[in-house]
Amino acid sequence: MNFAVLQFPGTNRESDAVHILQNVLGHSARLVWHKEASLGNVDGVIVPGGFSYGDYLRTGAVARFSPIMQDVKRFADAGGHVLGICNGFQILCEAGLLPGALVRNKSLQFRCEHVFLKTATTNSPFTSKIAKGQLMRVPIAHGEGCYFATDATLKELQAKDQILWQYSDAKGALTEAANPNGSLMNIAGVLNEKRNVAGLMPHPENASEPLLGSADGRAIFESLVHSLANKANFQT
Amino acid sequence: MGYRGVKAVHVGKYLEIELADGDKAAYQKQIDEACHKLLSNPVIEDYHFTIE
Repeated sequence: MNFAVLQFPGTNRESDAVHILQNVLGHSARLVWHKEASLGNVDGVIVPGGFSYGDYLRTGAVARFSPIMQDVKRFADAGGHVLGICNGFQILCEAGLLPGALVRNKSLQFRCEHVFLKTATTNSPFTSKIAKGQLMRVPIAHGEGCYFATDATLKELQAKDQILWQYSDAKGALTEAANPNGSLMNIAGVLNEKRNVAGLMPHPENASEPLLGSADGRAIFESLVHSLANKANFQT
Repeated sequence: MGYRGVKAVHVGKYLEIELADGDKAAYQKQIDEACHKLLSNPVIEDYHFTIE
């Protein structure tokens, strides 16, 4: 498989995403600068974390106007698979490719810690290889990760099985104490209606090798690779 | 701090845009679009503007 990993001014951990795809999973991945107008011939796109354009105005607000994001929109509209991580999730929401928005953490503090994620549905290219009921221990590092959407959007997300991950405690309970940022319904990641674009605030690319304390996040990349290789079709 | 009668506090952004002389109606349309597309995120923010 061939992946594009986007790079904006202020992006970080993009090398970690390339490392996982290339060195851990054995696929091809290349960095694509924000000024490029084309993704080239790729099977999937990763929009990594960081502070694109210094988070000016709002997180992700400026990045979505970059030349490369116009091609990401075209790619996604044509059914291409896109995964946004942390700031990448914020960018995809601002671009209108994902529902909802990310606002300041309820605590008003930047949170940098490990959390547990409960996978809400395995009916997606990003979660298909995650064992049912298996919790993932992954790190978060963000100041604006509080997921917000209108009641109508939340109802639709539930009805169409678009909630991918929720913050839980070590036993899988969706408690308020386990919610690091005040996200509605403990939502950590969502999917678009067509099921080809996903975003999440935690960093699975930093939890995909035992050396890093957790390899749980690898299942997300494995799901994506497996779905692309098998041209898997997911519907609600 | 003893401030009485406060029911709610809202915080937001205040932007000043300087425009060249031109058609007010056209600017009205243009700025509304800019507010909707870039200057605010309608999912989480409301906006209003006046042209002086």
